[in-house]
Amino acid sequence: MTVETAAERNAMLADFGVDAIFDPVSGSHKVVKGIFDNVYEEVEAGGRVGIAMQQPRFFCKTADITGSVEGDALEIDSVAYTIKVIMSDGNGMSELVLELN
Amino acid sequence: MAHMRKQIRDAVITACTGLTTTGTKVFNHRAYPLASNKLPGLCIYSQDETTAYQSITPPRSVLRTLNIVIELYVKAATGYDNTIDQIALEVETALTDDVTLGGLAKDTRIIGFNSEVSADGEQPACIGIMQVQITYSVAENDPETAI
Repeated sequence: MTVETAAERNAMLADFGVDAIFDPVSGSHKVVKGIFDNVYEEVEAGGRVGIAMQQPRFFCKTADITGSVEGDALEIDSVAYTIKVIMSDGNGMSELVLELN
Repeated sequence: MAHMRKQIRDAVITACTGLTTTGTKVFNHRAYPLASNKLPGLCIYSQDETTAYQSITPPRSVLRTLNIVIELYVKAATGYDNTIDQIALEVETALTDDVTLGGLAKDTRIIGFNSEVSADGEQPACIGIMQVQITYSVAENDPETAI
């Protein structure tokens, strides 16, 4: 059972979302609205110290990226990313793990 | 003068500074994360050391085996493993050019390598961890001077 309604999701994206250009490998590009997080954090990769870098994630409605696969492109604020992982919450929203091109 | 361990570590850092891929991005005992502008880079530190006494009458001579770790840091969307191997090539060549490190050591051997990768950031972060074993000898009452 979903916690929020479709109307609430739309309101949340309207308030906090940004426009991104979704360009799938198969199909034509379109603008989707989502919440873009790009925190600067330490990434541990097994060494004595970590590497500090951005961690770009994009939260959007699953319906807006129907059929999306790894390798699809997403452009946010003129910065090009490749979608590496698509994690649906099963309740209408998806989190996209992005890789900086 | 300084402890032989520091002299040797400094010699390793000197040998690994100015390499084609990592240039001057060489760090000693760094505690803070490496930002993108410090990559590709190297972190070099002494990890541990064992000793073996070689004579009976004080001051005794001591053969020391120092393990130094050289960590190779790379961030890239593609080809990061190739870059790690390229850096390893440059480091190994630099270190074995003079295994005595200018007369400080008896021998320098690269005894192990492993690599790790993380995809938690905007691009994959790959780290190669090189184990370097260096043997040197000192008198127990003079750890600043190689014998």
